[in-house]
Amino acid sequence: MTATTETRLVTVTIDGQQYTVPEGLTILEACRMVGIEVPNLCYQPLLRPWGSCRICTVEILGRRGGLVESCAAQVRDGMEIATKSPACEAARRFVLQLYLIDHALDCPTCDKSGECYLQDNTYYHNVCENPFRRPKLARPYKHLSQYIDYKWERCILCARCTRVCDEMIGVTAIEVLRRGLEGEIGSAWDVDLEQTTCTSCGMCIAVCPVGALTDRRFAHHPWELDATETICGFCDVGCTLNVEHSRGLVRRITHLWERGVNYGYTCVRGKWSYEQVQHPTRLETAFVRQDGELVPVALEDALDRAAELLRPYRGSAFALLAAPDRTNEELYLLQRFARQVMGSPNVERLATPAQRAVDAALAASFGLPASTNSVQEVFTDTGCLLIVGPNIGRAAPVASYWHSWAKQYRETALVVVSSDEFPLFHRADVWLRIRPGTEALVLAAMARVIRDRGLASPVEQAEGLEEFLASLDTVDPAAAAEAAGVSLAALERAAVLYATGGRGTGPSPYPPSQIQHTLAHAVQGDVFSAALRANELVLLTGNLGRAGGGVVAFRGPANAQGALDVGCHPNWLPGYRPVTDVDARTELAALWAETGGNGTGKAELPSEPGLAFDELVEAIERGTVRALYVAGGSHPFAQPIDERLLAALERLDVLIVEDCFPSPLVERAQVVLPVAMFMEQDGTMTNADRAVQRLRRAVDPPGEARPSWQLVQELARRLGYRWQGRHAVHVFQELVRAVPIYRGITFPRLERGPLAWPVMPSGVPSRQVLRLGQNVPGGGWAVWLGQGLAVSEAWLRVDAPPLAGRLRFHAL
Amino acid sequence: MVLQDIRGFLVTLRHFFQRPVTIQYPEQKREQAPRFRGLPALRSDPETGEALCVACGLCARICPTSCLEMHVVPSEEGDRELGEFILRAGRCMFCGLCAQVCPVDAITMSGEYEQSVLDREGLIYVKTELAAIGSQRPSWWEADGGLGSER
Repeated sequence: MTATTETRLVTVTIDGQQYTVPEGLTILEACRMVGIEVPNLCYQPLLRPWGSCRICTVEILGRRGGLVESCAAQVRDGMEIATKSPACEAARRFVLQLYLIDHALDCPTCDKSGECYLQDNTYYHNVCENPFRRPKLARPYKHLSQYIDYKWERCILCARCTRVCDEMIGVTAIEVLRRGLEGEIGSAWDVDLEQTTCTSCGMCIAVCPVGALTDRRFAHHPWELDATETICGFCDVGCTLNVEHSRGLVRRITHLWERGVNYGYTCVRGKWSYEQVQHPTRLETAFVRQDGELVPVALEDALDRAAELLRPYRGSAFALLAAPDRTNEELYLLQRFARQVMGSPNVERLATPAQRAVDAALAASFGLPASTNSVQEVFTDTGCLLIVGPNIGRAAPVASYWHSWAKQYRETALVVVSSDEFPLFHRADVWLRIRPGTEALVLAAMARVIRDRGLASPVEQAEGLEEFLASLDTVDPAAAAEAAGVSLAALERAAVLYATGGRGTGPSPYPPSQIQHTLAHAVQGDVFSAALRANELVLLTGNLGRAGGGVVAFRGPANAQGALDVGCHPNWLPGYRPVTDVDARTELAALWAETGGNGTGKAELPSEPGLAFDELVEAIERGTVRALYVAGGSHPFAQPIDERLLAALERLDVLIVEDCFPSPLVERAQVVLPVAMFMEQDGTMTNADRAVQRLRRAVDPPGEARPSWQLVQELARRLGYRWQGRHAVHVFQELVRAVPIYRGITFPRLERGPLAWPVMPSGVPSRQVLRLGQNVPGGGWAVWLGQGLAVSEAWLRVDAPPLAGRLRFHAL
Repeated sequence: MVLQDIRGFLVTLRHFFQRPVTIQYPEQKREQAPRFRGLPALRSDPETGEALCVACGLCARICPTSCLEMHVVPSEEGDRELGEFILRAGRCMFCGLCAQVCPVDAITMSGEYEQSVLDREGLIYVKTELAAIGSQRPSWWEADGGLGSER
């Protein structure tokens, strides 16, 4: 993340020490920055100051009425602040005593006990008796939904929950009802939250400083639980989850505020992800088909049987399909298994047509199937956000929080092109509520409007500009608006807002505009064209390589990006080196012979590109592919599996499936291997920002389930290859040697946080994320890899050709 | 010499007419002192018969030998209730901390001291067994009158 504006510094004295902090911070933030803890109840990072709890009171010396709320007051130059003076301690104690008049004080049975802010503050301020006493008021529990409970007498009405619901989640499902002693948290007309706009994200529970809002299914004490920080495996935003577990079971997910790409916030999938991971229907044992029936067997026996079945099918009669929700290590070894052990070029992702179309469109426009920029840039740089595709509030919920935040706090212009309803979209500057499937048409019409109004400043290095501009004549904005069911004026305004970075008028240069799209979730329309039009808008307005610009594509499965990076693609070896590249093949064959060959020296890797998904299905139907290994990723949030593929599976001789849940694939398999999910294994995943993040094992996989890399390694050993990874870190070290764009990423560095490829060498003190197509000062047209080279050429050896010369417009 | 013998037998003779100090255990059993610390047991409300435990887990938390294991489940009305409660009496050192820490006096040190078993499994008590032991006699809080109410 980079800040574009220079910040002024001010000098303040806090508790007798002088500190220099950026101007514009609140006193509380300044204290936190320099490491002084100011007690608070209603402060929540990223949310607007509220000032309702009165616990963060500090004293400003030498000023009348010096007690101020530190969360709401800004630092000024020369301010003298005392955080622990007797006056402010007394003020805090008084407020705490008032809170405790009606507070239930049922700490022993409260879920929050042990991590409760009110409890901590009561101890910290030594409030042991209360002069204000009367019989406590009490009310029964209120069930807000099947997930959330509300207990009135514990509530201190700090409004953290309602603020997070309104300002961050953007759904405003709960509010403070009534006033004074009657005040309580609830939904409008007290209906069940499931019938409101609530997304059940559980963030209200997460931010509650006391135990007023609680998880209905949780009944443990925080001190009984061990915590493991890991990454969510249910979408490619890549949220950091704090998995709390005891006695081998995950009990809840908590939040590491200001950590990870999600700053601690999660959506409904992440918050309750453990219910899926610990689902009673998970596959726990291996199965082998005997006389038409799947019979449970020991894992060893199933692996023996699988190896025996696969042995006769080496070569192009074998194919491998891998679901992109697996870790990089698993996917890397899966494609290595196909290419090295089975000698087959047929490696493909088990993805939907829309996901493959988005990848193909990114590759066609930018040369690489990757998002060019980071979602994080909406916090600092983006002037206008164009959101395209099916409901981003369901497809990538945590990203939609940032949109909501940016709209609220940065006044980022929000332009939405979506046929779906989501509360956030009602707050957008322009919401083109189009007919489903008309995204491509609308985006092309926007390009035409931008061209006609002279707002285009195309990326010069991109090829095919003239043809593209000429081909825009075929689009009539009025007709497009008509076809999409939106007004022409709204469409024009959307185009102008996007082209001018949210300003709408005025001379260039404009602030950057970013496109974030969920077209990979679309079920109708020409997804490839729509994604291509989105990329062309970026190229047409020169938003490539700028902080806060570019395009971010959310593709659904948690490791959709990583699957391509590590070579789960028929045309690319690991690191996007073409299969037809002799040098790359030789190098890879040498690496693989060194780290686990079959003892016969260097084997040749298949030199022809493999079968793409549709070709593969046809080949199965024709009978040229006889054996298939599917690393399935069935879970309740997975996309459905292609019907045509399922029908074709009947024609196979051998079908080996590894999966975590019973699925249509499992029903058709000869051998079923149980596989671990994301909380149950170590490894890495790459999210939609290209950020590589570390997964950690929190609990053991159920029964005999193992991480996929272990299963496939056992298979390779049974087929005569001496693979010897003992831990995911060994696989990752080898992976980094094979995937040039991952160089510089190590597990120790990942402990410190996500690393977006390409990474800076570890000596460079920079948190900056490199952007694809970035313009480096003094470097002419630049290149993300070039920037890596400029830092340390020898260290960061680059094998892929640079991005220049790969940017391309595609005429309509 | 003879005199000394007679004197000695006089002591015996005196005890011969006194009530015996020993009792015929196990046919007879002695009432334990009110604050005797026998096996920890679960109490229920004497009037309604409902279990007093609110499943806060403090007993399991404070137990120095971790012999108590509490499984808590969320209850219908939103609170928590006791799922299973296990006492591994082989590890228990009868310190009574669990009974002291209990905020609702649901756990008590009973008078139960006969714990000989033929195998170690017999030393593992579950919720129903502990409730049965706890219902046998009033707890020492009530018996000593006041120590409980002082808290």
